Amino acid sequence: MADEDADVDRTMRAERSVRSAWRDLPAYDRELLQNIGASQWQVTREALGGVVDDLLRSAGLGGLRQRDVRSLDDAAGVWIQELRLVLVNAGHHALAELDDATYEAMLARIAWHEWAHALSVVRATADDVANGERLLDLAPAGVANVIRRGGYRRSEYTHELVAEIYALLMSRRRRGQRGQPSWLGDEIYDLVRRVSGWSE
Amino acid sequence: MERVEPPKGYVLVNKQTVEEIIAVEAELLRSEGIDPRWPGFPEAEQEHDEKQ
Repeated sequence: MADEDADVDRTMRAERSVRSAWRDLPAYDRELLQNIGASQWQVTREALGGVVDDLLRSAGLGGLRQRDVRSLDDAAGVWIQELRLVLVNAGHHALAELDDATYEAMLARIAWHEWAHALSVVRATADDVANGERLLDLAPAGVANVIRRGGYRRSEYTHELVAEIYALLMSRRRRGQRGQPSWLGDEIYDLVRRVSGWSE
Repeated sequence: MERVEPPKGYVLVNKQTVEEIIAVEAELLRSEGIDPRWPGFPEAEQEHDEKQ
C-alpha cells in the first residue's frame, strides 16, 4: 500500500513537472506546437511500447511490431506523430531512485526533448537529416556520446541532436540564460533555431 | 494496414544513462559559469510556499 501511495505521489509530481515544462516554453514555441497539433501529452507509469501499441490500435492505426514494442519499452518519452501526442513514462526504472529535484529536472528535460522532436520532424529538411553524422561531430562531445550510445539510427541523429540541444537551451533558460551558449557552434545553433523555432 | 514505425524515443538504458546526461549538462553549464543545480519551477515553489 505504501508503494502504491508512493507511485501515485510520484505520478502526480511527474504530471506537475510536465505541465510546468509546457508553461515554461517560450510563447512562440508553444504557439508553434499548438499550430501543428502537438500540444497534447500523457504521463503514464507503464512501459511505452504497450501504451503506444494500445493507443494506435484504438485510433484504428494498426498496432506496432513486437520489436518496436520492445524497443519503445526502453524509452522514457516519445513523440508519436500519428497520434499528435507526447508520452512520458514517469515510472521508468532509470528514474526510480532520483531525488525529487533531479526527478523534476529529468521529467522537464524529457518533455522539452519530445516537443522539440514534434517541431523538428516536420521542419527539418532531407539535407539536415543526411548531415546527422557530421553534425554529431560538431556537437559538444558529451552530447554526441549520449546520442551515439543510445542506439539510434543514423537517420535519427539530426532529430536527436536538435532535441537534446533544445532541452539544454530550455534548461539554461530556466536558469535565466538566453542567447547562444559558448559551447555551441553556429551551425548547430542555427539549425536548432530554424527547425525548432527557437528564437530566444 | 501499414504499420506505424515509431521513433526510438528518449532512451534511458539505466540509471547510469541518467547520471551521464546530468553530468554532461552540468559540465556545459559550469563552463559558462552557470550554477548547474536545478532551480525548480515557479509553480512548484509557489505550491511549496502554500504548504508551509
